[in-house]
Amino acid sequence: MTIKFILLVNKQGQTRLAKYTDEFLSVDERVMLEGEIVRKCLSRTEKQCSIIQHRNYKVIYRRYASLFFLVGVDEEENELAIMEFIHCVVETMDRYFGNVCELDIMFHIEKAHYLLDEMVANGTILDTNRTNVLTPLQMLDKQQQSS
Amino acid sequence: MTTRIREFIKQVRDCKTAAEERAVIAKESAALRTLFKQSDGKSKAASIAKLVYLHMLGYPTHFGQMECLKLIAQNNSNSYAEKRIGYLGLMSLLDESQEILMLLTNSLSVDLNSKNDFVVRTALGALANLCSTEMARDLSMDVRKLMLSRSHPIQEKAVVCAVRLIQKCPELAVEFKDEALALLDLKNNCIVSLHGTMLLGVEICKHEPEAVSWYADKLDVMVRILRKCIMQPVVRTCFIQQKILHLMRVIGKGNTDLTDRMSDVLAEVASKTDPSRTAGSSVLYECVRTIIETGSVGGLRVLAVNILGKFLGSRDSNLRFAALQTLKRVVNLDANAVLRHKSVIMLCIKDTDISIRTKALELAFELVSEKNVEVFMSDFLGFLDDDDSHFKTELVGKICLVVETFAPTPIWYIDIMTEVLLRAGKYVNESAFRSFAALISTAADDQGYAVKKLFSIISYEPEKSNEVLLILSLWCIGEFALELTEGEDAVTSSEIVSVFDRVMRSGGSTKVVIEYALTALVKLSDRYPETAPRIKELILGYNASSHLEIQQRSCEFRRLFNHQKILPQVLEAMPPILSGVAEGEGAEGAPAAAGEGADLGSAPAAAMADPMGDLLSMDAGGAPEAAAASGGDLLGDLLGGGPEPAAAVPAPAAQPQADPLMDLLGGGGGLLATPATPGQAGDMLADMLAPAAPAAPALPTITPHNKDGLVVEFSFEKDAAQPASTLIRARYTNVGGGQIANLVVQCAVPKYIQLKMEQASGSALAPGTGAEIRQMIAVTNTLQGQKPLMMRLKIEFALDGAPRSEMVEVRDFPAGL
Repeated sequence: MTIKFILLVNKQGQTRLAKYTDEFLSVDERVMLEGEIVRKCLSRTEKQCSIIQHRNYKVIYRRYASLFFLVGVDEEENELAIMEFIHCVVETMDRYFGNVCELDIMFHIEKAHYLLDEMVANGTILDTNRTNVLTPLQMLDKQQQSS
Repeated sequence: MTTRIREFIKQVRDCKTAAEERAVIAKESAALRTLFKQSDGKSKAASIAKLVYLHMLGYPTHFGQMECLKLIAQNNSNSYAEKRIGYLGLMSLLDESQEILMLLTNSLSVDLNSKNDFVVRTALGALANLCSTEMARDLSMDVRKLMLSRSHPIQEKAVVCAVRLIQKCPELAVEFKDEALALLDLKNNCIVSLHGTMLLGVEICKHEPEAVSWYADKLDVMVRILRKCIMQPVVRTCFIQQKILHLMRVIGKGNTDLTDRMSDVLAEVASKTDPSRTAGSSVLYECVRTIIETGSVGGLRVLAVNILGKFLGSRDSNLRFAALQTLKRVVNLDANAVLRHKSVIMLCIKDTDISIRTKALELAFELVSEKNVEVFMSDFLGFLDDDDSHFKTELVGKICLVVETFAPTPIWYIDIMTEVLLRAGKYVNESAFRSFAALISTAADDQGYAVKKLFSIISYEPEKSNEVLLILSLWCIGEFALELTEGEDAVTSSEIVSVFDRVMRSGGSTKVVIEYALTALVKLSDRYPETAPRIKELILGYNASSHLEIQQRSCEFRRLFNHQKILPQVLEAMPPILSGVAEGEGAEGAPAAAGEGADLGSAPAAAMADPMGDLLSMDAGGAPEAAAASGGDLLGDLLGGGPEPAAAVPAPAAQPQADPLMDLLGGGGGLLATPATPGQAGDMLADMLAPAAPAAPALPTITPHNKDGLVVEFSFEKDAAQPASTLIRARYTNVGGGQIANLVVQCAVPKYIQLKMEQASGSALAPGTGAEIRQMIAVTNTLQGQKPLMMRLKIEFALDGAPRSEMVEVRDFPAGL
């Protein structure tokens, strides 16, 4: 039951955020893997299911406007739970950035990472409560403003 | 000077070509390197975000790792922001470099005891993502303390951290017992840390068999929490419910008493959860998995299967996917319950979505049994017209397997396989093809049927045939031609030769087809002497072929015609092929057969059988896998053909066999005329008639370590039946002048490699004695072909009493392991 990676990809297939948990892949392997998966997912239609099998991963993806959220998991993971989890992530990002868009994530890449780090650790879902997740981020923002 | 991150990202985005992007990034990387080199005490926090961005784009960022460590180690008023980005940088940028992790341990232990809660949380989060085995041992006490912290966010992270610690260092599982169980007892357990608590339970149970009973005692607590969750909106509690159900699944497996106690609450979850939203269906799905995997019986299982049935009929394709996947597990328990949904499953195989189709196909094949194989097969054959090549490969592979396993009669087997070969020949894999050939060769009663069927296809419908079908047909006709000219629908020998003539001339016939055709023709010339002149002429036509193998064969055959005396023996039909599992047995039986040959044979035959007997007994007595490998090799040769994976990778152990055989053949025609046992005849003919398999290069020996007098050498053995596995024979010798004692060699491999090390044959090496220590290491490269074999060796020994320790990375394994 492990999440192996989380990817945020835009409609053109460019990676906007990548988080790997406990997968030590070399840079080339990673770029290749992302390319393959993104190609597979982006070519699918709305009616097809949101789960694809790729190598030894199951990849669950959801599309929000121009952004694709892709989560790679192992064989044992509950796919439907991951679907729900992606939605939680999007809601949390919406709350923090205010109607999140691709540019928000690009220009605040570290914030987006913090947010995911509060929600996932060691490949498992840690917390999905928006208030809990955002407390440390808001606290950081406050610190930055005052300094 | 470095730019601001916002501008930098904009610059990268504005690049119109990849070259332009590389230039921008090279410039920025250079600036960052210079910045990191200056030790002016100024914070470089903002630059780390750039590195994370660079890393995401796939550019090298290792130079930033030390900077991250520096940021983590800071302790000033603004340190939270800096530590946070430092940890983020490490988590993202770190490759498996142990040295950096070692430096990190100290900072982590400081931060875990920090007064600032946020710092503690960040450190725990980083530890949960980065922890290595050494760190797990060093920091387990700190984590245990924090697991019972009063701050909920800290507790929550500490618990998940503990899961990672146990994953990395399973012997810690017992140590966490008290905390793990105490968490379940906390009165007002915050719903969030429950999440981790359940995960921790699963992890501990995985490593500590006794733990199941610890958690079994707490079942009532879990049931109570689960009940509480059902009352709340499912969106808020779905993840908790899943985790509780998961833990129940782990402790309830095979324990009827516990499953009985769970059944009420499981039924409650199954009936009360609303499946219309994803959150609800995810809980239902988890619940069904728990019911099925704990082996619940009766009403509960019916309920579970019904839920899956509902999923299967749903319009949401994700639910269908989940149902198909889970039904596969139900098949073993209750195939009839799944068979009720057969029509829907079959419909799913025709879905437009490849994910659904593949899953449905897997499930359908699970359902096939002896009783229903004929019904299913007609459906499966209907799917052969699909045009997705990946899907088709899978489909054909599975059809072949099912036909092989469940065929009610050989005739049915022949019918179906011919149909498959005809419609999807190029997707039929090597082993299925071989099994089919073996079946025809062993099924004496139905050979005629098979040969006639194949012959009628290649003679009357040549446009439909393909390479694989042609090869098989030609081989069958060569072997069993006599069946063709007898009984109903008999054909004349000259008709057969005409068909051969046409096949060989047709533009579509590949080199391999022609090779088979030549071999078959030469056999025909023996069965029907009246056709011999025509056949000779045909064969002669290839004497100057530009394909070496074809030329070789045709020339050999031409010369063969000059030895009329031995011709009938050389060209006699092949013995029945032993396939699959029988290979091992065949090899075991071989020495006996060889012995017999020595008794029965005339004087030269006895001389011949001698090296053979030696060889075979050596094989059988030595290593079973070597015997199996040579069996596979022999089969490969029988079928001839160049591009055969089995023949292309014979283990080095199989090589000695080839040598004596070469001698045998060198011995000339006189030997061949003596009656030989079928096994030997098979061998001889195989080598004579088949193209020589490309000689397998013996895998070279490597020397990963040669220092301080200690030499480590690796030699390799491969088992042809398991190409992913390699047996490494390690040999340690002392070439120096010192006394080596307490030698211990440890291996570490990346995750995609499985490793099994045997005990070494000793631990001390005296100088100058030529003594050696041997150790066997079995490795399986699960990503063979995609990733090379590699390992790290830790060599520890005492040289004249002084301890030495050495780390060696071994990357120079022979290619293809």
